[in-house]
Amino acid sequence: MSRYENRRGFLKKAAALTGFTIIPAHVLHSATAPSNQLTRALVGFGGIAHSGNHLGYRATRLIALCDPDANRVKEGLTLAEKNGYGKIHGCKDFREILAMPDVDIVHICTPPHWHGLISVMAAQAGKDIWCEKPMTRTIGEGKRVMEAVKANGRIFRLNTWFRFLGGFYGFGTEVKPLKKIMENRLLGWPVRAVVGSVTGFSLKFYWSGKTNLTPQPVPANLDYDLWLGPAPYKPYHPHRVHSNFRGYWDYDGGGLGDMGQHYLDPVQYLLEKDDTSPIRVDVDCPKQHPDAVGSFRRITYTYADGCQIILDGDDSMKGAPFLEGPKGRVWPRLRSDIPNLKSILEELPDPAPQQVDFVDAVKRRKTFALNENNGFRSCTIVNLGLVAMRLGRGFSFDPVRLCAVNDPAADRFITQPMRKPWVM
Amino acid sequence: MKRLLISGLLALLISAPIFAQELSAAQWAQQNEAVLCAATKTDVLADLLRKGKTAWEPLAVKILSAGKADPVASTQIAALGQYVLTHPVYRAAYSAWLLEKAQQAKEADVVCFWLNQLRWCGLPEQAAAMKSFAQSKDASIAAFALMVEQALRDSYDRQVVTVPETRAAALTRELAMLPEEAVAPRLVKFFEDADIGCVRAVLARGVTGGGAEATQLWMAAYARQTCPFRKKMILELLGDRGDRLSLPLLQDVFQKDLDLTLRAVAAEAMFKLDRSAVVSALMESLKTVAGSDVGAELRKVLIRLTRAELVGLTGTYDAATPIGKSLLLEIFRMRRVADALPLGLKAISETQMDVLINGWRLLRETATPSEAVVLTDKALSAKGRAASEAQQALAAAARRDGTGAYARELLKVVRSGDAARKALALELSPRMGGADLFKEAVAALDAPAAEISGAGARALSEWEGTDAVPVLMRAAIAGKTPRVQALALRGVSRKLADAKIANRFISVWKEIKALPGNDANRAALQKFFSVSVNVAQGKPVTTNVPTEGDHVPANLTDGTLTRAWHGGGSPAQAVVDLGKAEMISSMHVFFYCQDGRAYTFNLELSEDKKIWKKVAGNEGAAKPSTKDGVYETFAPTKARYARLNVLKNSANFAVHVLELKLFSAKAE
Repeated sequence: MSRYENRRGFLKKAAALTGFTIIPAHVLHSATAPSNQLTRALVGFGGIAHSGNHLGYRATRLIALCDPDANRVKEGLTLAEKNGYGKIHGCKDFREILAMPDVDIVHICTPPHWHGLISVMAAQAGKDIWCEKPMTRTIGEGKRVMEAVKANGRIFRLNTWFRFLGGFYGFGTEVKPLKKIMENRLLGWPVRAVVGSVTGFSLKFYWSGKTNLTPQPVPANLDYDLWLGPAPYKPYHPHRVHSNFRGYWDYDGGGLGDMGQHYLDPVQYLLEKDDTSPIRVDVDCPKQHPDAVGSFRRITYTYADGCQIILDGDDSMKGAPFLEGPKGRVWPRLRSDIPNLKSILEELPDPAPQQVDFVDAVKRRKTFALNENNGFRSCTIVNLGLVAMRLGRGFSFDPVRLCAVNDPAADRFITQPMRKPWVM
Repeated sequence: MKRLLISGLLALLISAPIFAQELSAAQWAQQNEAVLCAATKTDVLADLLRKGKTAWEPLAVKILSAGKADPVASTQIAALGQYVLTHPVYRAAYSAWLLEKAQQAKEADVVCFWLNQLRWCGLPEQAAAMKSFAQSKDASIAAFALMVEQALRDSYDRQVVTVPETRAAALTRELAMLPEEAVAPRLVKFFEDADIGCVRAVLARGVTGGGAEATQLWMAAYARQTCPFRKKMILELLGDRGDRLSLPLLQDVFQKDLDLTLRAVAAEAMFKLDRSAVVSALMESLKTVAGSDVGAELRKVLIRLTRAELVGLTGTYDAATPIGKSLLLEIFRMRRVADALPLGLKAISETQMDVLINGWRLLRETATPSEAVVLTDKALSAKGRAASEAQQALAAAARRDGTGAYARELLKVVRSGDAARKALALELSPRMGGADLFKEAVAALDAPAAEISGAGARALSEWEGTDAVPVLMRAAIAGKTPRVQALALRGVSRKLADAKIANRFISVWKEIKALPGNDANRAALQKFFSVSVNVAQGKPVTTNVPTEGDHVPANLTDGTLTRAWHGGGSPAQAVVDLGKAEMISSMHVFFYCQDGRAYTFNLELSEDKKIWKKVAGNEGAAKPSTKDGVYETFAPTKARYARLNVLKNSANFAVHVLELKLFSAKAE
């Protein structure tokens, strides 16, 4: 029996033992003895892994980290020790982490071109997964992640939180009152959600690539081949890697790739589209360079029931962001043309609660609020926009078969091959 | 090594037109949009493909190397690759040409460019040609060729994820073979035997089918179950099954189980089955609730009821335990249930403190002018913790009152009440406002009873606006008693903490300082005016980075720490225009401080926005930011403009500053 099985067996027995007592479960949940605490490994130690929310996440015990950059591994080990985790395991290759029997949760903090592949491999290795946004770089990869998580019975958490926690950026309010408005059809139906530059898209335009990068020597501390992984082999330039990778199609999708899922996931939740995708995406943008990501002026998504999401990239729409239906509009801070909206809201019950405690979800094998299924759908909104940008035109999408409708050029972007030996 | 040398040489050769290469793709595309649009229009692409190789070759000439490829040509070639996918008549010829170009190319980067085009639009029969590239000595060509081969063979789509069959998958297969009536018993058995990680699939399958018999099987399984995790899962399943047969079990768990988590899950299941069952279970629970932990669980359920459902609970109040009463009052307040107002009036006569306080809080939200007499009387006689709640309730009711009933009632007490009630009423008067109460507060300063004159001074200190400032200043110098003078001085200090008020009343101070008065107060007031004043407050701010969301630059100088400026990039500059030259001698800056991050910054001052003098900063010594901010003093420097440079944020690329204060001595 492997160490992994022993550990899970222990947790299982601990759970069973609680049945013979009358100690409330929440008391047991609060126990933090190392043997009763879930363990976590950080895959990738760049900007996001440095954040206090991740390195300092105390609900699990950090026991390992990896990065293809030796300097980052060194820095990570030092910071982990400073944060009270003691001496943890550090390595270059994430496969070493997946082989560690003591790791319960793999926390994927790599650039997005790795998200799908590592998620699938982690699921196959029996790990639960906490993945940074965007969930995957292509729709095809997202589909594979859904399949692998389901087939292996894993718990998957996508790391954006606005649908259940904190203020909904740009709307000046939490999502909860907006959800009440939508659930009770106060605006009527279908609804158009306009997400403007105030929510961050134009702000992030500077996360654009550069054209014609001059090849440069690879630094000794970086395993560039491993950093690229499934992405095409292109000559090294420092602007391709680390904090600038978002500007290149091979690894991410610029500001939309970076911030899109943050802002669009709550919109998807509000529009009740957690189990489907738009049937049409249209775009107005400058012609995109084949390698470097550029900007967009407007992207319009249309769902089968007529609901729309509009990304106002050039600030040309007045009053964005807002939600609009046949019966009225809602602007930030619940400003609305519906009389007495706030008092109407007070009379309405709260939306159904969500499973927002990840550790509890892992222990109880409950689907997390933002998981591989609805996370895939909100990531698909982002990826449809990126495909339209690369095509320089709109296209129709089949939300069930997850492919473009009679459009092989779009399909080539929806499902992309990986560089060998990597394959999903 | 050879590759390094080539790369180095390329870098030297291409360093001349470096400026053009530094443009981002977004900037470049915007500058060249017209050219790019013209080059990639559908009819242009169709025409190019019709003309064949002779039209394509000039494009190939422009693909020199990765560092020197013409972006318009490379974009046009990529567009051709997309076009032929939807117009297959040209695809074979075009992809054959791409392969030919790859085979002819000498430099690795150029070979990879052509292979990359093939990756998008090549044909399956070209996959074999990739073998020779895959054997290349150049690692980048070999790696790229393997990827293209995979794409051309379309192996990605055919690739099947090999996952060994899990126990859940085996069960699904087994269930498919069973007759319908045997499914539920098998599911229950599997649920009780399986590893906890496998039960998700069982529960998904158990939600439907089997009718009442299956529901009873699951209820029996619940009774046998000892593991709290599995008990929760069964309760959730019962809710999802939609069978009301399980309601008695769920109500029983909700009212009696010692595991509070199970109670919460049972409530959730009842919400799915029948909301009225939740209401009746709550009614019973409110009559017995004795512990605050159980109360907290009940609260989570109460908060989800509609207003109509809550109104239905008002009849339960009298039978509820003190915790139950407090809960009801709290929820009624949160949802502003006007029908519960009589319960609030009843609660403020109770002896149990929590009930009393929650009663006042409910009245804070629901009291109408009709309650003015009784509330004023009760509020003025409230004691201890209840007193401040009562006063807040009275003030809130008065703010909502368009008839002036509360102000009139308070005025009646101020004019005729006994000394203690009169003093309390005076202290409440700033919350009501109005000219009559203001006059009474001014008159009270001269009252012989110390209790009344002190209350008058305290009331004026709290009076909204600036009307009370000159009165307080005079009282600080010439009040009838030292106590009144001291209280008035305290009020002056509080008022003048606002820079706008301070600036306006300096001249008043000059007039009244000549009045005879208490030496100690005169000295204290003099000292107050020599203390620095934040001259940045309310001044306009400009920045050189985009704003994140509604965290506008003006928040930097809005005088509060509740709003912040979020700049979308670092280093970032924020320039404050003080409107006129000031002598600045210290600064206080507050950064976001939740997660141990550190911001590196410096502050520069200028009289003309051209010559800047650095006066403060933490470069090389940035520490994690704290709620106390960073305060620095420096030699007084004359400046009209202040520039805050936030050079680095240790957590991410953006900058987040709550407030910047710049202090200038206002001594005359």
